[in-house]
Amino acid sequence: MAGLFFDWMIAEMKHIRNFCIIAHIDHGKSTLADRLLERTGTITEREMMDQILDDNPLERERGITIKMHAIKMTYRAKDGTDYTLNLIDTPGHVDFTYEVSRSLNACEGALLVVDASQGVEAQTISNFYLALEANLEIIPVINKVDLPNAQIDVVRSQLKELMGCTDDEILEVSAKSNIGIEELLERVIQRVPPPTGSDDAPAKALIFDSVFDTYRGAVCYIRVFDGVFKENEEMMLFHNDKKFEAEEIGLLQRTKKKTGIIKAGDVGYLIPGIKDVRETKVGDTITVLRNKANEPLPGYKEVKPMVFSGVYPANMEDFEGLRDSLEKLQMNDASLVYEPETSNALGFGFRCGFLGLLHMEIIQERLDREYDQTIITTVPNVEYKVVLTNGEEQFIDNPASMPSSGTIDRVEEPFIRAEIITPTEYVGNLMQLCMDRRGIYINTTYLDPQRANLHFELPLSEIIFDYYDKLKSVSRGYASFDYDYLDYRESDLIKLDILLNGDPVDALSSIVHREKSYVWGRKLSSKLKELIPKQQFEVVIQAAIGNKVIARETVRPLRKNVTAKCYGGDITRKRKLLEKQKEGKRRMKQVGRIEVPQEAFLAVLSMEQ
Amino acid sequence: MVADAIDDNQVFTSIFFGGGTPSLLTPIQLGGIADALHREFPVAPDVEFTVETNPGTANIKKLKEYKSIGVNRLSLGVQSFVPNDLEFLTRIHTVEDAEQCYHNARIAGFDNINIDLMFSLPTHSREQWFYNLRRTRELGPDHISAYSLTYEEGTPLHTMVKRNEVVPIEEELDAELYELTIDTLDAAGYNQYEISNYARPGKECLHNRTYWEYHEYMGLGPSAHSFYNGKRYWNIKNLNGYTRKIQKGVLPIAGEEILTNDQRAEEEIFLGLRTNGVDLKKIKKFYNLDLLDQKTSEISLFSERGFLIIDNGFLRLTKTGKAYADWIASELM
Repeated sequence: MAGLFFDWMIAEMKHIRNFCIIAHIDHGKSTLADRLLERTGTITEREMMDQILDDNPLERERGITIKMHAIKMTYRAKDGTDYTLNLIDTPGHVDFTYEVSRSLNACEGALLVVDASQGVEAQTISNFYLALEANLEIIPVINKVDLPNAQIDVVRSQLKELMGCTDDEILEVSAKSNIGIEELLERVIQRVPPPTGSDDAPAKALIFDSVFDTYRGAVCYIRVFDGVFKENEEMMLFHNDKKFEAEEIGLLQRTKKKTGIIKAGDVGYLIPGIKDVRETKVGDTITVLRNKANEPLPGYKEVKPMVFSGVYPANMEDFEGLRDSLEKLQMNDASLVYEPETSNALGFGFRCGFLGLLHMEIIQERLDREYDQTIITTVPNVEYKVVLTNGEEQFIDNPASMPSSGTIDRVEEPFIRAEIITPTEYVGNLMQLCMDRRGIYINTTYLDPQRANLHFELPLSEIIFDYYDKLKSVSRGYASFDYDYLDYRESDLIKLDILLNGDPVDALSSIVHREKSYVWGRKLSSKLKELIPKQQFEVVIQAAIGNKVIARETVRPLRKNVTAKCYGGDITRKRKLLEKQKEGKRRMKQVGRIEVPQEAFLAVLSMEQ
Repeated sequence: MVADAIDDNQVFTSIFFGGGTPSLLTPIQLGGIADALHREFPVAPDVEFTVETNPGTANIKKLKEYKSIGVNRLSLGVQSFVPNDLEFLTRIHTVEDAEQCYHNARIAGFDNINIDLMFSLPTHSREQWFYNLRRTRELGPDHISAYSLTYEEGTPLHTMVKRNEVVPIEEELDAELYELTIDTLDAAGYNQYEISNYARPGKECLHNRTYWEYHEYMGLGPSAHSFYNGKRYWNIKNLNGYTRKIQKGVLPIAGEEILTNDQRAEEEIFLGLRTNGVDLKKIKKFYNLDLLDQKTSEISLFSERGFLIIDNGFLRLTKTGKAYADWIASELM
């Protein structure tokens, strides 16, 4: 009996393929996933909602996948055998690099998809290297080959240059027009190795995603490497030694399919009966106590926020509501961190930490849309490492809490390694942009004679404002960009304060490079002059470094505010204008006696740099 | 069609031909319309009958004939007594046309004449504007409308400002010119009965007061607004679209707005502030809104600053307060 069961298991493992699709944004990852689901009969055309894997409306709107899931497909190959194909979705943005790497680690193979008209881009390269690091079998795929402006030969040579593959290895498909899909599936069967591992070995499963369900608490998406995982058995999480009994276990078909058991090689879900996703972290390993592993799978790390911003309720009395909303959001998204803070300008609020800029925007939008919170956010900043003269180290995530300059020995800031792919004609513009942002040039490589790959090291703080927009505008939209974190480095940084009628406004403080501080101070004060409406008294805006005022602007007092004409045909419009004026006023923040509009706290973002 | 909406006990106290250049109408055309109005609508025997007149379009003969039709008030679009100003405002008439037209109107027997003026043009200094006020005072019209130039979005002037081809004067100077207007006209015997309107005693424009005192009105013609039975209507803007509807026997209404209680109260407040004051008792009675109670701190703040006074159950703007009418209204709404 045991022998027979063993044979069946071996056969089973042989017929599993775990793989993912990696691509630059808009290169057709989701459409290709849809086509595979359709071709394998996992989902019929009629059932197909557009881009089914992206089930969050915000993600759909942005055309990107933020949170990944997985889906099991069954495919009868040309050899007549039924194979189980687990397609694991990956988020497509640098903010979620760590999560991408965990998803890749749940797979044995990856489809590297490149748009036939766009060619290899920055994310293509960074994803390729992540897949390489995860030891995956990588299948190069050129998508959208039926587009009139497809440059298949060019893209082929780029891929060969990048991967060192041969022409025969590259597949040509059109997910949209259903070209080459069959061949692609066959290639996955042939090339992606089946999982290895054993049901008898000490149990190890990787959490590659963890989401919150209102009724069930944490739901873990897992890949089993060794052992068998059964419902109601005692299990343990490695990073916090938390023990639990698995409430439910199953496979991921179109919906969750409860099976009660999953084995080595499988991809599935596990509901641990734990309320909080902060305990079931992505990258952690689950083991079964009955067959306990001594150590976790490698690669787990705590994700650390890289970008910080103050989040305040627009109306003071909504503080509790904001706190509740953040608490609920964190149950969904363990990478969000926050703690209460107080600002003399904005009152009670929170300092929030995000994985990156996109993550920040997503959280802010979700607070607005899903939780109906009207919030004021401050300019995002990075976390600085301050070494005091007495040798003490402090991490500063809010410019306002920068120690006074006399006590500081040095300030360090995070640096990133940037990769910019661009047609060669924009190299000059992009060099200039990076130099303006205090970039350190490393080198240039070429994907082909027309496409350069620029390597720069840049302070993270220099790319969190409008860097991406600028990059696109100086390259007419052709350059693509990706980055990863390097280290902390010393920089000549100082705190720039803004004073309104002599009083410093903490929420307007920023940390800037000394060489840029004068220009910065002047631009910021003149932007604030534009944004702060006239009051009944004069408002003096000053930018100061320590006690030294470096820029000054004046908002003259309001002298007249009355519409000249108001006859029968004007009354409706006039009422609406006044209502708007009243509404605008409601959204102002009272800083001392001065009414400051919300936009002023983000003035830096709208400044021409 | 619209005449059907009129109750038996309602009566029209004013007829006003305005918008565009109605003085281009020949006396026969104007007379025809006036006859029709009298036939179809209950018009009061002492109706105020105004025609907006462009100084370049009416000679003495025409003015006399207008008078004989029953027109008893003229509103002259003079704008300025400085040739450069008229050019800037792209007016077709000259300073001489304006003065001539005014005198002709008096000869024709009009004893109720308004002059429209425009101040705070980009070139205006205190002296220049005072010159205009002085010339107006010398003519001695019964009524003066003096408007501060506004750069409305969508107008060519607004575009020119955005392109830096026109630089508006400083708000400070605009406020000064406004005060100068109020003081000069007050000294000359004109009472400021609305933000931009001044009249000799008894010569306030009945028609405009209809709007401001929240009485009903009916507008005929493309783009005209009406207000009756608690609704505000506006007609189709496009002339062809307008006539097509009429020919089909359909009211040419482009849109309507049914005002809520709160909206009506808001309108009464800002219109009241622009004119003789907000009737606190009326607001309380009709809209159940006790302004003194609900806006105590705002009202006392504005009173301390000398912008507002409470006078005989009315909340009124002072002379200084008038320059801030919009801001104060938005705070009280």
